[in-house]
Amino acid sequence: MVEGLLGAFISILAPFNLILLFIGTGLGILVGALPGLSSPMAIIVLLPLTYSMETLPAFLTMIGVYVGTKLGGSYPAILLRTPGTPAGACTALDGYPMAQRGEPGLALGYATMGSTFGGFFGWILAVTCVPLLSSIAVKSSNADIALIGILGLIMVSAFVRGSTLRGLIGVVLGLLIATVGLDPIQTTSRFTFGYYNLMSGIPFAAALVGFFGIAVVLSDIKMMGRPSHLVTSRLNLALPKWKDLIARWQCILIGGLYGTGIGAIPGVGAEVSPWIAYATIRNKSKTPEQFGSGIAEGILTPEATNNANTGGTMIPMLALGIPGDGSTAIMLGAMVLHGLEPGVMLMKNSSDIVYGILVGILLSTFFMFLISWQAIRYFVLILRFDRSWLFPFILIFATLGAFLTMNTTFPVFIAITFGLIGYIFESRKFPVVTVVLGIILGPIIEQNIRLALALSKNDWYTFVATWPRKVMVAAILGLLAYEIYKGLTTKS
Amino acid sequence: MKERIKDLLLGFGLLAVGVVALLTIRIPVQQTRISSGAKLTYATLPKIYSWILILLVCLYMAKVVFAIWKDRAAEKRPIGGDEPKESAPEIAYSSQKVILLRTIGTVIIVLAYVLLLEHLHFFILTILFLFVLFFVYGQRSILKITAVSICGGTVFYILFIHILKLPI
Repeated sequence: MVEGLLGAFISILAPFNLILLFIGTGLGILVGALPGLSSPMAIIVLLPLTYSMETLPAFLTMIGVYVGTKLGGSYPAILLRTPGTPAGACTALDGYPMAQRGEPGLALGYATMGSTFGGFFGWILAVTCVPLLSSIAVKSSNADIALIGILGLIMVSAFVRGSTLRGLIGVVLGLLIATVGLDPIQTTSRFTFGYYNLMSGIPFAAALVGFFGIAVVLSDIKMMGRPSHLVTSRLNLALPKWKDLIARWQCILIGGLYGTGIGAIPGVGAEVSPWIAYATIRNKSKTPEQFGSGIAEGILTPEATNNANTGGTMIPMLALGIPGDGSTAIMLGAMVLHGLEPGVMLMKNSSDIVYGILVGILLSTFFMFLISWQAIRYFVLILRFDRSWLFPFILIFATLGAFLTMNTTFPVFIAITFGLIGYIFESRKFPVVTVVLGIILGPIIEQNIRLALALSKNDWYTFVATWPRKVMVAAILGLLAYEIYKGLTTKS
Repeated sequence: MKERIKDLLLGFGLLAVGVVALLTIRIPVQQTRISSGAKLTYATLPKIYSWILILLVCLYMAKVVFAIWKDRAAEKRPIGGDEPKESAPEIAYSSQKVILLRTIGTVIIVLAYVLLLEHLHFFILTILFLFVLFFVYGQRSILKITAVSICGGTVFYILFIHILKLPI
């Protein structure tokens, strides 16, 4: 592990890689600061730019964006009470009152320090867990991998926001979409309807562009023409004193633990963990009634949780090939585009990329702090821009991103189709991330199930032949039963 | 009620997807090139997914129908009963008609951009694309949107064609 990390440090310290990581982090803060834009969208927009890059620089840029959006979402939350990202909503509870009290710089300072320390905490846990989990996962057989994939999908639909029934429908739809193209074992074409372009399946990058780029633009058209909030004061970051931070060490510890732990559960994402951490620290406080009035603990805790999430989501993504949230789902797709094989063999076959990504998170967290400390006033000014100026540029990136996957117009039609599907799904409260995860994990699950059966001479018992498999099957069935019961009894 | 109807329509759409998938996977498109004695063939998992999708969507639609029935029963209650709770309307800064036109316009303009990409120069097309979209999205200062479109088109041209050397 140490050798891998040192090797990655040496690779990343090349000037070009550092610059890309820095630019990615700045872009991430910018995107996170704008309500309506998200980390998945920013990464999708970057995809066409990364096609001509080497693998590591491409991922460093994406990691920079991913880390930067976590802090960027707190800026409008604190200054305008409108979070830039869903994960930033909790920060507004105490951040906005503190800003209203005449201390916006200090509120932003607490957010920056919370994000920085939370990011470092999540990184330490990720660096420890990823190699450990990978060494266990690499010994797994086809049956184990298939069961891990199925369990991952069930967990996604169990923990995703909204109705679990909708989550399950999204997952199964994604699995069905993933069967389009040539069958991996018998090479029979499925659902191609005679179209040559569909023989290799739905172009994955185009589907992602549709879901996370075009669909978001279509959904946010109703937000255009919003009167610009006047952020006129020249803001400077006011870093809190060290003794104030040390006195609140529990906020960072609890935020870090919740962020990493919950972030490591596939599909949960960053939205839930800040609220759980906030509630925990409030319950532990001797003055819980002060929460919501603009206290430092109410900013430090959710921000530490948000950035610890970046480490947490890397654990299932890098060790098992199961994305933790929408952004990591896109990164998995980008891995495939760059010729990598995400999954349990990633650490074995491409350890340089895995350690590069992990080191990238650490350095990006450091850059995030630097950028926020020195240039926050310029990022805050971006809050004045109306979406009608930004969305055409996003659409160009998205369209070209889809076009360049095959250099034909076909993937763009796919992107538009999935954009419309994503728009309709989001409007009816179907979580789109479940469809995406179904598309990603479908081929992995199918191939491994069929190989496992072929190797065991069509004996289904192979899926419960060992204790870990029995536990996984029991977990799958138990979660399914619970979800169906919950789906039938809760209101839609 | 409108929201429930929309849920039901989406349910019908998903049901149609499941049924079509089930029917079309049975059509032998071509002979399998590699025969095997495997229990799972090319059609097994798509059929399983289709059936599960149909079942889940039927459950979903049953819930929606039940909710519609409950809403209607609540409407028929005498005065003084509980009113069905409406969710808070989302904030929108334009009328529904404008939003719909902008949504349709966005899809058409993106389609047109892609179809014309092989016929018009990237630089000119991108400037036109930006100009039209800014106008559709409500910007009315022609000078401003012309300037931003030209600057944006130039940046994209330099970035994609000269720096990244992408084959557009």
